[in-house]
Amino acid sequence: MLKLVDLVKTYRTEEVETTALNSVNIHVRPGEFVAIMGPSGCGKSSLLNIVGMLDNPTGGQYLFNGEEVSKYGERKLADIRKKNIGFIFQSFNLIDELTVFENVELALLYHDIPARERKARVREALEKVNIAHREGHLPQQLSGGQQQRVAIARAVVAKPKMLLADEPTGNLDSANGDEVMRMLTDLNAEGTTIVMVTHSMPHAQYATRIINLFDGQVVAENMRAA
Amino acid sequence: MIRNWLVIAIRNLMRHRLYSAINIIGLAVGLAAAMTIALLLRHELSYDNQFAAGDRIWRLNRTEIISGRPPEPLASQSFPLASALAQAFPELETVVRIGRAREILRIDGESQYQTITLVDPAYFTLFDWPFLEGDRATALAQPDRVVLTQSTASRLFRHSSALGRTVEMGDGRLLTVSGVMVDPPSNSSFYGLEMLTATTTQLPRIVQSQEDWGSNWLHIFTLVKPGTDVPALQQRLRDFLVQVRPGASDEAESGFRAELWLQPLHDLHLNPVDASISGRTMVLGLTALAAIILAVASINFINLSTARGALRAREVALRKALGAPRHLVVMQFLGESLLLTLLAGLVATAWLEISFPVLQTYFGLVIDPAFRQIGWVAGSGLLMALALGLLGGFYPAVMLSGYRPATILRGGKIAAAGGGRLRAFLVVLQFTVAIALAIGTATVIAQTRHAASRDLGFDRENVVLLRGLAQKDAKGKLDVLKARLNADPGVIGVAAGPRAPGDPSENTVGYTRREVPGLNLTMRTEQVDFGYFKVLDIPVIAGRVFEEERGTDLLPPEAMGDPAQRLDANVILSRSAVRQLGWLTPQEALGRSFAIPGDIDVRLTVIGVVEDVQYKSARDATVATVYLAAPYRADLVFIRLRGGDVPATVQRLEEIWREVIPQVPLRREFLDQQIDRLYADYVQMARIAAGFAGLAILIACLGLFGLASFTAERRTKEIGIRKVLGAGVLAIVRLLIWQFSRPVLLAILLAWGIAGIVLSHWLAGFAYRVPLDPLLFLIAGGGALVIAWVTVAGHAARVAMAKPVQALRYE
Repeated sequence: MLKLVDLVKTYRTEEVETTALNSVNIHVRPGEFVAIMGPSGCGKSSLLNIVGMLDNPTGGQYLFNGEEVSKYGERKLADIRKKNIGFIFQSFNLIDELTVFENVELALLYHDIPARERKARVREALEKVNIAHREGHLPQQLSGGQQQRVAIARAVVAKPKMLLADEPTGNLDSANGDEVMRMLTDLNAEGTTIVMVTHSMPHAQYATRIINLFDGQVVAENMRAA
Repeated sequence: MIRNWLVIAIRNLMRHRLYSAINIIGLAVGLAAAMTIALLLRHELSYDNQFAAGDRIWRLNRTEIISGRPPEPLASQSFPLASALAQAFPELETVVRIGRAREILRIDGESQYQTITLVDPAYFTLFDWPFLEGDRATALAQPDRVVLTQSTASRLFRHSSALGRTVEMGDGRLLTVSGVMVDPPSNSSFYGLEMLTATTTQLPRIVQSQEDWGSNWLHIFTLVKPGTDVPALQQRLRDFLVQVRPGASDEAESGFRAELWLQPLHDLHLNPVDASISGRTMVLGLTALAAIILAVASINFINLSTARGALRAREVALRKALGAPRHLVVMQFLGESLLLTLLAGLVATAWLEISFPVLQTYFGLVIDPAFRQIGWVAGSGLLMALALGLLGGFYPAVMLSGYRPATILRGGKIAAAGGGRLRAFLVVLQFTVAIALAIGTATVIAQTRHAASRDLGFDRENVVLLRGLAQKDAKGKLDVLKARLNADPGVIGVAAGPRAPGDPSENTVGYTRREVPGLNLTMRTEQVDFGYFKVLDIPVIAGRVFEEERGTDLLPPEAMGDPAQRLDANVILSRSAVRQLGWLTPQEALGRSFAIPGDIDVRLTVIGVVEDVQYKSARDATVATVYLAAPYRADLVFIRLRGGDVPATVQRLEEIWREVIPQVPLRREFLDQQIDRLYADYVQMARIAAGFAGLAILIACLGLFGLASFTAERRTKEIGIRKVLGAGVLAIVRLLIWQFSRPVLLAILLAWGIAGIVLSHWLAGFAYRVPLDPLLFLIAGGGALVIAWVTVAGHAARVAMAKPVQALRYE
């Protein structure tokens, strides 16, 4: 699915240069559920941004489905991204001015999908995460768990091959967190590749493989028996 | 504490350079425009305030009431009226005539025209201009004395003293300089005064008109005794002309009447009797423009301040948490807005100082440098900046100080949505004003063009005027001059006439048809040359024009002067004159006759009918005109050119004039330019309006630019999400542009409505008007939209093209 070879990411401000990722090598195969763990500032989010094509690496290679994408421009990345990748964020990132339904629909607006099919798929996704009864509500009228379920619906509605989750349970209590993890597991079982960044060891245990990151480098990989 | 405020205010200005620059530039442009207008207003409103007795000085006006025409107020009076007035009305302390004559002076051995103002000796008791040389009280006590203004004195006598020197008239007579006075300032109705002499000086203009009640060519001013009941005086004055003027009762029979009335000196400029745009219209228009521009500028200011306010929320919360009472926070923000507007005021003052001369040229304004004293300009700037800072800063200050610290410090959301609605409203308001102003300006210009270029009834192109045939030295030279001019290969035809279309003067005569009882008419009457209609290309509708070969067409010179002589003459009528005289068609009028009533009528037979001619500006409907063949009344010749090399031809024509009439200085004009001058005040008004409308649009766009940059920033998260979900650059740009198009679209609709209503009302005041042009509306609206797009597109594109990770900051 994706292969990172000697990936480097540095941030430069006027005075200092910070290395966020230092020669990272990761290979994720289709259908895997990978959890990335590590302390604050270890480069988890940088890694996820690059994997999600929200940012370009400073050096190294990024092969996505065998295609070298690290030097691609924004337009091309956007195209690959919308066809292949879904995102789930810690802070949900729902648009406050749009209803639940509209938030989910947003993910399909940028694909060429006829309105009728679009509506059907939005309903389907909302039902899958058990939030269909709230489709007319605005995000701030929902609880955190409900909001994250909407975000998951939005992430999967376009049927991406890979799902990137950045601390999806970070803002949730344990009951809601477990619920979200069960949903991710179900999605993985249906064949979606998932890469998840998390602080929570129990939630990392849902994954098939855990990668530990420290100071921008991979320090350990544990395969779990599926 | 104030130091802390200042530090924060200045750091905020420096940190948000773009925002500060937009705010200051927008405010400075608005302030500079308003200051310019304030300066103009001060000038307009201070007219004629130079005289000690100014409150008691009045001008005698008359209103001509001619049946079939709207009443026409006029300022000109006849010479004998003044003496009659002084005798009949004891409450008038002094009555002073002011007339103007164009005389020929010999200067450095060359004949030159010089305008001499003829005044009664008591002139200086009313108009006490300061004297630089000579004694004001006696300067004009005797004839053949002249008082020069300072600039005229230095023109004629260089730098030496003028007092006691002489100027030589064209006929060799010498006038002695008895005084030098200051130049009237630009805010004077007497601006441009050059040379004064007493009415006791025997100049031809005075000699001719001393007993002439029919020639209205001078102004009469009077000093009213203190304590006079002016309304009662006005009442008694009204019909005075009818009582004293010989032949006034005959005139009344032919539907002509004139009423007298007094107008205070201070009112002359604001309510002129004979200008098409009054000072008052100008003053009102300018005040409105200033208000609009200031409003647009302060809207920017409010919008940007409230929009940025969210960014200051944490600071406000902290201050309040640390115990700052609300009024101190309000004061802090008011102080910041004052700092901003004062900076803008400084920029505006500097800008105005530098650019005013350019503005003056562009707007065609005459304003003395004294009005641009830095103290006054800076003072007005300071005052407006203060007002703007307090008014514009008030709302943002109250809004920002209202934040609840707990919510914000907890990291909660700031409710900027309420302010958003206000901002949207204000943007709509701004653009409505700017678009309406643009449409209005364009329509004014279109109407002016239309009025100046419409079918005037004659062909104004390629016609040269040579003036001065009424001068004594030109008498008897007309035939030679015409023959010589006609012989030139560049000339198609030559005809003489008493006045040209566009000249202010008019000759009216009373007519009657004896067979139609009660039909008494006063109509414009032109005494023209034989070639007049051909040279001016006035279309003939019926019959024929005057022909020199038929001796009977010529009106004998005695006809108008000697009522004892019975006369027959042939006349040509304009289309409207036919209708007024009661004939249904031009054909029907041919061969019919009417009369100039008198002891013995002058019988006039219609030989031809021509198209109506627009002799005055388009504000006046075409007037009915009677044409008589009397070339000996000529003051000018019309010369129609073949076109081609016009400059060379004109040079030859001027040479011919100098050879035939060397004593009379040449005065050459082009007919089309003469017509254009009629509309000069509209062109000036249009330019002023266009200039300020442009500024208003500019300021509004600056505001939109600032707001767009802010919104793009504020919507970063949303845009980031959209990008993560696959939105392309184009989709984001479209989204942002559409957001900003909505208020502009609404503004376009509103502006169309307002402009449509106001302009159709304004256009209704014209006899000949352009229809409201839908294209103009479309262009103004479309233009505003495109400008708004261009303004916003840059931001939108920048945000849209940024890496999503920059847009989507992780909390």
